[in-house]
Amino acid sequence: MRTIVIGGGVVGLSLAYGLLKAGQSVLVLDGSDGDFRASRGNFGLVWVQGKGSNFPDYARWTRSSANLWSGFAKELEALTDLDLSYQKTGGVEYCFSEQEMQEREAELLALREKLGGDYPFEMLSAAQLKERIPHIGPKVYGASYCPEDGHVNPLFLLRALSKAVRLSGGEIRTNIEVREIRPGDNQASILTISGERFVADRLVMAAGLGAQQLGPQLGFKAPVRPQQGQVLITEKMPHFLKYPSGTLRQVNEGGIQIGASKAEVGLDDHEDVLTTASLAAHASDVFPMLGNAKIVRSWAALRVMSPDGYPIYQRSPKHHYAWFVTCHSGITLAAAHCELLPRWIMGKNDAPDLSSFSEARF
Amino acid sequence: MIYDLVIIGSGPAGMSAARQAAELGLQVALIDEQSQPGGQIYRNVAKASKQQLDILGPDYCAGRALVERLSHEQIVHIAVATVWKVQKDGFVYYTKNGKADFVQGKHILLATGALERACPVPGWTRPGVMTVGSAQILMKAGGLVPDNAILIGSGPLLYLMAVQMLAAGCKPKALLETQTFSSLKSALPLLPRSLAGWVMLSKGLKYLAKLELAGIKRYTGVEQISLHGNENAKATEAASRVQFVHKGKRKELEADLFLLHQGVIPNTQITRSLELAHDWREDQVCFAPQSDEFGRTSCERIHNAGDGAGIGGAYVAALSGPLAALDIAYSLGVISRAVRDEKAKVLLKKRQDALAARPFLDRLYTPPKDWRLPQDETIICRCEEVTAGDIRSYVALGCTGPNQTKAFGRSGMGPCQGRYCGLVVSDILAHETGLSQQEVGSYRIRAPIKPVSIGELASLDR
Amino acid sequence: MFKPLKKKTDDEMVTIHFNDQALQVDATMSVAAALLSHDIRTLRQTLKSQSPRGPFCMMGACFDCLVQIDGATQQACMTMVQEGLKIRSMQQNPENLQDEAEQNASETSGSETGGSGQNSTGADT
Repeated sequence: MRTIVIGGGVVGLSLAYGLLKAGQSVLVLDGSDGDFRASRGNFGLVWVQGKGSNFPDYARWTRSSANLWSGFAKELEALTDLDLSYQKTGGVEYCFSEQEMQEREAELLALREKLGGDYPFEMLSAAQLKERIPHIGPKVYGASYCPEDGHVNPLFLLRALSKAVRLSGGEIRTNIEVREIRPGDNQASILTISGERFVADRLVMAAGLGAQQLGPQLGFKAPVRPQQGQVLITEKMPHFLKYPSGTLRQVNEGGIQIGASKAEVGLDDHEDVLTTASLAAHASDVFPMLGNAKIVRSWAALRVMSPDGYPIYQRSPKHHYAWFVTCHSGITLAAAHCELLPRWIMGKNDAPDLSSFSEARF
Repeated sequence: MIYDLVIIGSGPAGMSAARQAAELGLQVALIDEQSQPGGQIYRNVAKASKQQLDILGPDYCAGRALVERLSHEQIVHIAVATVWKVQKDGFVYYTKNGKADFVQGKHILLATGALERACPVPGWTRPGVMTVGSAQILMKAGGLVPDNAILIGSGPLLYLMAVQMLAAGCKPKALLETQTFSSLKSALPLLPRSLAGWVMLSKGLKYLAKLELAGIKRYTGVEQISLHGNENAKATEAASRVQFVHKGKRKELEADLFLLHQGVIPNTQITRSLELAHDWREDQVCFAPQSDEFGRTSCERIHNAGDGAGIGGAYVAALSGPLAALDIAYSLGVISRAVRDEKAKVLLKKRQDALAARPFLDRLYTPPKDWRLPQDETIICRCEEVTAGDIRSYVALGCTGPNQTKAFGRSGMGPCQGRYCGLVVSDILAHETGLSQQEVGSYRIRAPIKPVSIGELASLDR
Repeated sequence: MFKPLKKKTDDEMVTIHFNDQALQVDATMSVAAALLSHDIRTLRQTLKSQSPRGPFCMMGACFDCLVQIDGATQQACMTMVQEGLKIRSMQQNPENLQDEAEQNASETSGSETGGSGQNSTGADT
């Protein structure tokens, strides 16, 4: 029985590696070098804070993945001999006014209540924040802090997953452009532009934005859209910033990564001066001492967004052997996608209940 | 104000284009990183001393006329300005005196010239190993001559440099040349029977005769070059020895300075960042942006002239600049097509004649295989210290394109943004995957083209 | 490794400081050329492997001659010398790095580009 995963990004590879660990035979079909790839453009956070404030199941799912991350990272590192630089440091979100502080606190308190009181965070005044991050500037009023947040080198994660899939007996075919999927009763045929044909006994669609085209062929709605985000990175700097935030983190190599904008501009992954200038202004608001730091690169990438921004986990209503997986937090959810999602796909008794993530909600 | 034409780069192509455009009545902004116009080939030429001019020779002096012709009321020279983003809509962002700024042009001419091809031999990152071009710049702009130096590689610049060093009284210790007798044999049929061919050949022979007369040791067909420090010191030592194989024998020479050169390639950072169409040029072993005889690129508002559009040298660049300017003036409706074509006729003819010698040079000095496909241990990305073997290991992980190699191992992600490793990565990937370089493609280049500070960028917010 | 074409007179020279070493250099040179004229060829070490690096291309392309000037990273080959210029090689020892960050922070707080017109004086460290 062969499982084919369409999509060789972090989502597809995390799941493929998990399926391989569960004893399945897996082939991953991946696209070309120039494809839109959120896996190569993302910010690299393993993030809990504030996620799912309107969707407690998502908050729980996120936390379960974040809690699995340390073990997941250790195992990948041991298998692949790569350093993922995963650190569960706790993370902050900066606030610039008292009102912003109050709103943030209210939001997190509400979430805590929805989760039955189990949701760790604290609010830090500017003075408290300065104890942890001495270089913050005077415009920062305070921050929220969550000890379960962390960050990782997302590119090394991608490489490690790619290596782990191979080392575990999986196959990854690159430069594959799927032209058409022909669903049969118990199998699907995947036809490529170059004329190849692959037959799947089980098929997982993890094709990111590619699911827009391919999903409906398997009976999925696949209502995903691109949302552009832009990111800057500076030259390597002395390590001064231990705690990541949603907008600023110091990567393991030393660069300060600054993100991330949100724009609904379709399939446009070009960086622009106005957006990057506002990101730079934010960085120097938080850390005035960064004014002289040189930006060496900027980029834009496309998030894969569902209508409400939350993941979709859906078994095809028409073809029992087909599953659809998509989310915009592939890094945070990588551990859950590897450790828990295979159980759901394989129909195990201990599978997570993912019914609230069905596309029936759209 | 909106300029009719913004020219980036004030080498021979940019300077000659500026003058031609100004004479046709266009308002021109000429942006360049250096304080003096001239580009790298005519670096500092207007300020050079008589002694420098004597040593550097008549080809260098030729740049003075181009610089003098820049004084024209229609030309604004924005010097010491580092361009970090060029947009298809005509906006050019740059930093000058620590401040970010921009100019807008109805048209843009890219005249960003060439870069020296990477020289990835073991030890090429050590201090004390530089490029021949860098040593020329030091002669032109710094008044410094390499002393007790060994020149390594191939190309006409290697001999020119050696002759200039002789003239300055600093005899090169040796020349280690990678071209072989068979490269000469395959190039000879391409030698043009025209005047240009004979001029070039006689110039080359004159250089070689001078080197011979001075008793400079030349090793040709040299292979397996590697640079080493002092074994007794830490690995952090600067280079003091070169090892190589000559006629089947392993040899070693000591020197204070090692100058590498393997020809030049178009600087495609801006054209790549604009996602203009590029072609793999097998004759020149590099990528070049597509451009027609007037330097039109795949983007309507953007022209490209000089070595950045394909290597032709300074003389050809000074003809291509005015050709682009004529076409831009025509596009802006300043001159008619007939006037453009009439004025272009002589320039096109001269350029064609000058380019006749190019195939011979390209073949003769084609980079050797072991410089294009270095051994596994050799660093190819100087910034991020990625080796050729690393790139090959990413291919084993299914990586078929340069952008995935960036993701897997950070090659091309340092401050130089792949200027030196880009071509080598594409070559290695092509070799390992069996795809062509055209199919493999190239790094995607993003702004900033050169680093810009957070403060500078933030000053453009709102 | 390099010889001057012409000996310059004292009034054609300026004094620069490289890591607290005072150097008399030709006033028309770039920082990289000036340091090379004193046989200083190692300007920094790489972060990844602490390998030494120095000027390579001299035309602003390779970024191997990076140094610290006025709290900012600059290309030595693209920066002209001037009287009293203080140049520091990029520190690589992790402990020094922290000092460097704070040094830079305090140097930056008064500089024109530091806060891009915003209040940048609060970068007390």
